[in-house]
Amino acid sequence: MRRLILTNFQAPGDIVMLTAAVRDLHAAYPRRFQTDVRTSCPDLWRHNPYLTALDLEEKQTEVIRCHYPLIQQSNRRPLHFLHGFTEYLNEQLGLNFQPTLFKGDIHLSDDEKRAPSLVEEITGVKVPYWILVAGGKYDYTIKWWHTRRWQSVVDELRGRVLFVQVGEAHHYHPGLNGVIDLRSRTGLRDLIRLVYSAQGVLCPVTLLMHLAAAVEPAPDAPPSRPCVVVAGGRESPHWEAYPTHQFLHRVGTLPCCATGGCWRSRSVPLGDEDAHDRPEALCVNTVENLPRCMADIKTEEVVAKVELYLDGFRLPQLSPLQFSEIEPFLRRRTDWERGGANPPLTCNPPPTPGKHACQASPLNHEIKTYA
Amino acid sequence: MMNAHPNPSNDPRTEPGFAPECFPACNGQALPQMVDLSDRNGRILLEFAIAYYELNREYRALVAVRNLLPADTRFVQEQTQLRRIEASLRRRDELEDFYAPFGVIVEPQMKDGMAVNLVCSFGNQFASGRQRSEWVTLTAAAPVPLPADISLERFVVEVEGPEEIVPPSFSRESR
Repeated sequence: MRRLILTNFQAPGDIVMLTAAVRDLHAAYPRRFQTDVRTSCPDLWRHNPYLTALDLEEKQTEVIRCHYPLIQQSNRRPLHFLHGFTEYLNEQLGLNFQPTLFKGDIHLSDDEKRAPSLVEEITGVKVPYWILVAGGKYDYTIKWWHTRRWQSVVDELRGRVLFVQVGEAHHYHPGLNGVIDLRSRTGLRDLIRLVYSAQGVLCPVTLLMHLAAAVEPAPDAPPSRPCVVVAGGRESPHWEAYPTHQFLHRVGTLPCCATGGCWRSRSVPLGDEDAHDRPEALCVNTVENLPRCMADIKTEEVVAKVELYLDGFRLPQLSPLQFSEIEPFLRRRTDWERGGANPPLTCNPPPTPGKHACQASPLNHEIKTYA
Repeated sequence: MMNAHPNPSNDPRTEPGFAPECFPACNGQALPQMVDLSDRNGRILLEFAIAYYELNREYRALVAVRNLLPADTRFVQEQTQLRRIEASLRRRDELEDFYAPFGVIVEPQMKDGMAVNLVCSFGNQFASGRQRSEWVTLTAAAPVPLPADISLERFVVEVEGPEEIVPPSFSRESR
């Protein structure tokens, strides 16, 4: 039996893809390999049945630093990211195995599945929720959609859909109003648990998209987890998208991504002297400093995709009672109203579920941003 | 869009009638009196500080209207002031929109209806102010007792330079 230690220290989304390759290796060659990993995200491997503790120093153990050079052909060949590590391992080990499932391979313990969701722990109420990622890392700012548009989606679905905003502390995740704010408060394992109980995921091309597919749905949920991805034109959809996701892209509709993803890094230089600021890494088609492919994706389009899932699966939405129970936990940008020292700027009625706050007032803007 | 921005070269702190209590701090500290406008982040900070200074002043004026006039007689003045606040908010929003693709986040901390501090982060810096792409130098001192028969003069230490960013446990050659 060959002993393999697979290593990779890329981002968590890449590691999720590696979990799929390990699963598929064992599916194709049962009892032929013992596998262990050294990666940047040990939490993604917890409870993984395909791992055996192997010693790095043992002579019979082969160490394979895993890559996915296949990405260089991703605009030409009809392949998914899931093929990336698989094909590399095939080359390195002289094998011929293929992806068996259209998802990564993340495992939860029974205790994790039984535990109340983080949202329930915080609010004390069991309510349906969607996870929202409204930002990303600084190396690929081209993946960002505009904060105000994420906010509009939240506002548009207020009272029907509860959004839980997540994001790493050192990444770009501006806080949104009207969400449960878990930014910088979730480790990877928390995030996996959060996904398990989530009704859906709304995000750009990022880890959460892969987790939405890789984490099994809860018993009372649809067989595939709803996920809306605001993707633009950086990646070819066949490489990145999952078939059950709503992947909003612009590949093939713009000159800059006419035949595939542009694979560029940033919309504007950040001035950090990083290689991602080089001219060849910058978006060539911007609208007010936003990538055209992202600026073209409108709030209504995203809301409509979320509603597709809500209507199609007849997913439970927040009841007025549930909304009133979770409302105290929703983030507000400032304590303007809560401070109590000042009267509100206008005398509009409190927001009603499903409507923008103070829609009727010509001065609604100030309430929307301050309250 | 840039035209609507507060002009950092028109620093209100140098103008007559400046109300220092309306000028917010940035990341808990008073903005330097002389901001180096060639420094992008410093300039952005000043632009946001000016935007919130305007908002604070307009809000203070609104409170004054409400305190001075009875509710049934102040409608016109109140609406005028509210519209001025609305205009200031829109300028603030445009500023946010413009700098969002650069990874700039500025959030006000409020006290008694006024923005007293701006919590700011920039796309090109960590919270510590260090450039994101800057190399990190870590130094550690570990006391190691020398064997009795070796003197310090005869002890040679070879230090290897950095090669790649993988954990040091990977000493074995891999594919």
